Amino acid sequence: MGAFVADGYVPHVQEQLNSRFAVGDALTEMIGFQKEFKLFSSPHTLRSAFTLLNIAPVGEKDREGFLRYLQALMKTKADVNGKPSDLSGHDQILYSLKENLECPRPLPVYFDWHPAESPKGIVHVTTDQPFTFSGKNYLTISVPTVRSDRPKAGARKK
Amino acid sequence: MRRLRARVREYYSGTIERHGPTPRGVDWPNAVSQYLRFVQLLKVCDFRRPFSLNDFGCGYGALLEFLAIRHAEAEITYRGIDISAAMIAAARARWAGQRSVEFVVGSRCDRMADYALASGTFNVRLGHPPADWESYVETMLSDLKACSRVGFAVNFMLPHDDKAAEDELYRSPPERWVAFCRQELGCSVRVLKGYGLREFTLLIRRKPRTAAPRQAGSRKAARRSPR
Repeated sequence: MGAFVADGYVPHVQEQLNSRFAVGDALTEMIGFQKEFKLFSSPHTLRSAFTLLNIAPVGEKDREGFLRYLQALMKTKADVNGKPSDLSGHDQILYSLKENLECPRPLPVYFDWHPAESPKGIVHVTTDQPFTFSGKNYLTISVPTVRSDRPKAGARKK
Repeated sequence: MRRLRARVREYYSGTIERHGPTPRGVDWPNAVSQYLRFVQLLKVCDFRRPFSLNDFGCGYGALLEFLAIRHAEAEITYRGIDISAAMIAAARARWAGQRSVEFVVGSRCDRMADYALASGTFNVRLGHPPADWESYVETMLSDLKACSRVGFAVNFMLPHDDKAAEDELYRSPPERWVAFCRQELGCSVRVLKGYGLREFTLLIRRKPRTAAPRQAGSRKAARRSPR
């Protein structure tokens, strides 16, 4: 994210995402949206789904950066509970959200970030308990991020 | 009632000025929740034939957006009514040149149509005492009935499970308004809930007029008729 969205807005977007998929009314709404509009199914993309859900940083530049970041996830790989997926990071997120929201007992979703460098650019999808203070299971989606002050690839080679 | 309407007008003029013609501009969190409400409300309409529609509390005309997506083939004569002149100005700018569409500033439906919808218009009571707000809602429901040839649809927020209602908002269980529509307005009512939002939708239809029951005496007279 760092290169697409100002650092200060990244936690803000994470909070929006996690609130939208939280236990209770929020998750019930997402289940209703998926049932009626198939929000996390083709032809929707993460870009169109999150735009409809109004999930984005507030500033126009950062908003556009966030949407470009979602598109960039099409070029990343993904794994699910440690096993490599055939889908891109972007498509795996859509598929996992769809499967979860359409299953008989959907889980709340926790979105997280991890460094993109090693292994390079992989979306991790797991079912686990992300909070030490809670025994509640979540569908956890962790997306790769790079530091905004990271030297450019060309610069590193020099 | 006049003061209450003035506050409502001021509130929604403020939201459209702050957020523009977007879901936030009409106090909804996002387009999807707005569309999900339209799905429920439009169940009162029969899309197999052309119809006219009053959209009360129309805002910037988001319903037209949804109709274009879901019911592009439908022939609808649309009239959007909103208490806020700023909302109507935004709606007119957005839908300029659209056929069979008009927007008017008003605090009630002033023209007959086949159907009327009101989405979210009863949710924000702005700290008015619940009894005053309910009296306002009763007036509006009576008005919606008076201007609807076939029926109308409205939605209300449901109470929380575990906390009190907010001072700014109005929440109600369905029974309160189902009873009003059946007993006071003499309409048939269908309740929709469990579609994902903490709310319910009422599909309210006028009952078809039935012939006056014949009197026993006249029936006897008919039997005695030489024919």
